[in-house]
Amino acid sequence: MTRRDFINKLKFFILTPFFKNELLNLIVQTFRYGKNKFGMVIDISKCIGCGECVRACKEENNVPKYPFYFRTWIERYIIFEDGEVYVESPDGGFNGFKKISPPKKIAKSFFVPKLCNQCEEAPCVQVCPVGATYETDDGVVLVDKKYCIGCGYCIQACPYGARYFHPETKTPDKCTFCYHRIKKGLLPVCVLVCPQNARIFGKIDDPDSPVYKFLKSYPLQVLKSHLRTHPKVYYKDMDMEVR
Amino acid sequence: MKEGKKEISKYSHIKRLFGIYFGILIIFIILRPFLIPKSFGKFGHYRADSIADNINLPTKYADIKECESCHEEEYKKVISYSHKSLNCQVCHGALSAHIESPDENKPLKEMNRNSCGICHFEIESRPSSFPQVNEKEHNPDEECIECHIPHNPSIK
Repeated sequence: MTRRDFINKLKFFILTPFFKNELLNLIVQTFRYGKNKFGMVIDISKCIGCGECVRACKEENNVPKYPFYFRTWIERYIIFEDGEVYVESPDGGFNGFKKISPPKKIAKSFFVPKLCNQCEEAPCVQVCPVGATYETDDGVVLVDKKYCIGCGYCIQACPYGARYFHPETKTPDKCTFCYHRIKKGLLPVCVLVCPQNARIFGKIDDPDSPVYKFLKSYPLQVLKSHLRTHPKVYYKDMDMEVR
Repeated sequence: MKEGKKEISKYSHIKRLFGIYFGILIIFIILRPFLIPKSFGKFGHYRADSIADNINLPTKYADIKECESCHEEEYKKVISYSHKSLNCQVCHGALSAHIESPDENKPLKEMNRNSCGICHFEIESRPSSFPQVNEKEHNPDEECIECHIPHNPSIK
């Protein structure tokens, strides 16, 4: 091998990581936001914190009634005039919220409903050692309760805390966008019962779906975008203090 | 090497080790197809049948269009007044069972101050455009339904 050949080959090795990234991005972008994926938009300015979605979700999906198991829950943010942020979620919003009279002056306050974000690059799917949690063609992350070994890695991996360990099935459980309903042409229960229509559900890329119209007409945000999980739950009018 | 003892080959321990290793490997290769679920890997690294398992779960909340066929009067009343964005099941609970056997499974009908207040009591976090009343100032000892009909909530 001449010196010229050696340097030429070395150049290839140095450049490989850059090209690899380009290639990977190309592959990822082809599959991301693919056809027929489901998504949800939550309009924070409309939510009144009644907790109906939490109660309906527990009823529909057999979520245990204990106040620490949730597929969806509501958080209340209070931002005081001195900049202090207070976040609470009594029973996940199951019994609604009560008026509080804090000593300090409130600058702004709002409710944030939360649920599984159905990430495109879900950390929970990546860590599952047996392939018991996965993303379907519709973009919904599901749990295979028969195949799951119950190790709980996915619960730890989820940056949104959307998973919990179901005490009866002994497997993790999470929001599935009510997969048993949406595949039968019904709406998820939280969307169905929301009295303010603060939740909007549909296919992301279908021009007839309300989510498509929302995505095209309003500025929207996702939770923890810096983690690059690419959630399919979008928030309208979200404050920067929301985590 | 002492006499009378069988001469041991220099590599016998390695042969034994490899024997065990390949034995286990062959057993693994034979058993593997039987241990993997049939539909595993059909669409990806998961059991494809699990999608059907998830879809076949029962639904408890019904489509409210079915309410209209029996309760036409109430249905029309609700959709023409300010509670029109409310699904029947918000106040009456999950109704799938009631639609299947209407006489056995009665929907919720209880109304007290709290069932209205969970949406309408004044909280600083609620959007100000939403109609709210102060829990302590707005007729604290009376039931809401004495003045308001839930299907048409303007004052009687």
